Amino acid sequence: VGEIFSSVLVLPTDLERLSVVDTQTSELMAHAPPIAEPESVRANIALAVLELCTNIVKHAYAGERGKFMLTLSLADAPWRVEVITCDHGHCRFDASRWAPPDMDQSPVHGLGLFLMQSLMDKVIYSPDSTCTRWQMVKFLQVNGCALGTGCSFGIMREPASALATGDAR
Amino acid sequence: MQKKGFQPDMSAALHRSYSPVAVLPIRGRFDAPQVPHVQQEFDSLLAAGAAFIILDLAEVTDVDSTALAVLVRGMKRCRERNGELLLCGLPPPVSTIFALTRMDKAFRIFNDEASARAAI
Repeated sequence: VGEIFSSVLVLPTDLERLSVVDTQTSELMAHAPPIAEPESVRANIALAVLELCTNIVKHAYAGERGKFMLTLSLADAPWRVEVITCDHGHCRFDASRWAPPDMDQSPVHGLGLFLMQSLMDKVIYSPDSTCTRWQMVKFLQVNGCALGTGCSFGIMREPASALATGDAR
Repeated sequence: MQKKGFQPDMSAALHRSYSPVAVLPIRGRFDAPQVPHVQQEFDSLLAAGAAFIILDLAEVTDVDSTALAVLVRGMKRCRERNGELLLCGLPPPVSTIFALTRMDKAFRIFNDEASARAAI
C-alpha cells in the first residue's frame, strides 16, 4: 500500500522543454492497473500537468530563467496519480483574486486553471516559505472494482469552480 | 529519480494559401511552444487580405489552453474584418477539450475543409 512509481524532474522555465511531461505521464500510467479508457485518462492527466507547468513558466517566472520541480507519482489505496510542483517564481498566484472564467464568453485568460480543475479531482495551491507548491490528484477507476466493495479504489471530484487553497477536504 | 532526454516536437508544419478564404492546416502538437508559429501564419493570412480562415486540425494530436486562447483571439480578429474563423477535422481528443471548455459553441466546426468552404 502506497507509492508504486514516482518520477521527479527538475525542469527549466522553457516551454519547449515541457513536452517531456507527455512521455513521463505515459511512463507513469504504464505502471497503473487496467482502467477504463486508459488513453483518455492518460491524455487528460498529461494535459493538466502541462497546463500547470505552462502556468509556472509563463506566470510564476514570467520570462525569468529558473528551474522548478515536478513530481509525478502513482499510488494505491486508493489508486491515484499525484502531481506536485515546487517553484520559486517571483510572481505568486493570488487565489483570493482569482475567479473562474465565464466559459460562455470564450475567455482567453484562466483557461489553464479551468482545464486543470476540470480534468483532475483535486487542485490544491499551497504556497509556503520554502516554495510555491501546487498539488493535483486524479483518482483512477480500476477495472473490476466499485465503490464500497473493498477494492482499493475511489473516485472523488472537486467542483470545477472551487479552487482549493490548502487542503480542500 | 528519472530524467529523459528532451525531444522537441516541431511538427506543427504550416501551409498557407492567400485569398479571401484561406486554409491553415496544423499538424502535431498545437500547444504553447507552437502557438507563436501558428500566430505568425495567422497574421500573414490576415495581412494578405484573408477574412475567412479555415483552420484544419485533422492532424493535431494535442491542444492546450494557450492554443484555445489564440483561436479565440483569431476569431475576434476575423470578425473585425467581417469574416470568420472556422474549424474542421477535429480529432476526438481535441473535440473533447473543445467540449469541456465550451469552445465547440464559440466556433463553427465542420468535418472537413470542403464542408467548411461550403458554409462560407
